[in-house]
Amino acid sequence: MENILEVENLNKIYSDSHFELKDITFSIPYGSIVGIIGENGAGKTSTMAAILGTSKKDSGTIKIFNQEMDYLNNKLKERIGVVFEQMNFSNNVNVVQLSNVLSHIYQKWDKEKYFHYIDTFSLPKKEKVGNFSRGMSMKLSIAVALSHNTKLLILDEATAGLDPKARNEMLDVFLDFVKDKNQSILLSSHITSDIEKIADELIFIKKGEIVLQTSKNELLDNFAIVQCKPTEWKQIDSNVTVSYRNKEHMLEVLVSDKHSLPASFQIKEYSLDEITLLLMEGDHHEGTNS
Amino acid sequence: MKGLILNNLYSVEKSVKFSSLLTAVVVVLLLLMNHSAALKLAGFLPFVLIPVHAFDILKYDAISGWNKYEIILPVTRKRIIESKYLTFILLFIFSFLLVFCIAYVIHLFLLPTMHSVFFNYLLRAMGLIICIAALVYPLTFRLGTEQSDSIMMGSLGITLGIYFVTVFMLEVFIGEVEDFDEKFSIIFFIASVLFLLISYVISVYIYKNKEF
Repeated sequence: MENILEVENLNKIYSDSHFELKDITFSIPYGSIVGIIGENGAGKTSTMAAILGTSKKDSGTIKIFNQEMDYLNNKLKERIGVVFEQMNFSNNVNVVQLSNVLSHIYQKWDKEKYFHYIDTFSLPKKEKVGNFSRGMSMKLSIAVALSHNTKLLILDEATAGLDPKARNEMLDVFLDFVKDKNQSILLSSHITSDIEKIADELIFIKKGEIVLQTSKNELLDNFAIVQCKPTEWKQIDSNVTVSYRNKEHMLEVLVSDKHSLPASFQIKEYSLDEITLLLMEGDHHEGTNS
Repeated sequence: MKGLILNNLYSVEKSVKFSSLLTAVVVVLLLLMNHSAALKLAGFLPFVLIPVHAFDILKYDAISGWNKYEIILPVTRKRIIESKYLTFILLFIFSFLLVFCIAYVIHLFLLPTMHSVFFNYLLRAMGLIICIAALVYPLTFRLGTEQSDSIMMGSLGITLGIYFVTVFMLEVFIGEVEDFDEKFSIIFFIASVLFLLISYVISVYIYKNKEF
């Protein structure tokens, strides 16, 4: 399948914080939603910043629409919609003025679509956006991101802080966005239930490094968390061990193929949240099959 | 570019309207005083009150996060800087037109205002605010808006320094000639415009390497 975004061996060192992105490699096929999961400071936003050019990468390649990302190429940027964690529009403009501004910036600004979303989200047209609540701000950011012939939507914690109803509303909009298979979404969130609901592919990132990359179906069908005594661990094939941690004199192990486990092992009921926790808190196993 | 400038103007629309109204009232009153000192102040005031709002835009952009958002828009970083400088120039031209039109109307119908002293101080005020802008922009892009008050004070201090150094240099080189004031005003204004051009080039360089 052709990819809308390809990131290969992306490296970036932040000299002021000693944080670094290490060999980030992933791709987003057309029509898919890829979720980046990780705790605060894991490197989700830094990865997106490097893709968007708000920070400069040290090495690696980023290809968008099969072209090397060139931050001087406005045609490439035209087709990327972005929603940051906070709304980034000038506080003193209203919804109508914002449309005026953006219609002079985006060649394919779709005013009709924009006001369709504004009406759908019930946003006031004459109120300054600086007075908007968190939910309204995010809805406005999403309306803008979807209204300029966007092909790739990059969402950085876009659903954080929204109430469950608003979050569901947004997730439905995202699912609708990718349904014709020509558009894709890269979504980062620490709300794993959102990612679980809409993402096709999952990327788990920890301390600037991808620790697991798999499809959601693969994760739900084949992965499992098992609890065992340290002495029993050797019975698990090291090739399927992804991550493990000590918990009350027992070992909790994330495996990538639950079918390969000996019958004596009891598979624990687990959620994406628990897998995330195990990946973030546990030790990464060298023989990982990711 | 038009969209970026429009956004800049929307950001300070209310403050510019208020400052313009205040400027118009005060300038009319000053000109009607028909006094040399009042005439000088009338030439200065509009540039102190109106174009300075262009510097506030940098602060508002940083607070709202628009400065980060601009980077992902289909515009180059050079265009972003151009839009900031052009917004300043637009407010600057507006200030000039406002004070000039008021002075001209009063000159036509009430009393003479179009003295050389008025033009001298108009040019000097324009030179001073251009010099301040030439310093504020690159320093803010380099040091960040958190330092905006110190940058403004520092720029004002340096600008006054440049002003008095220019006076001193002219006195040394051309001496006390008859039309010294006119010559100084014109030279200071031209020098400030050149200074702004250099500042623009430096700002583009700084901004191209800036990370958000």
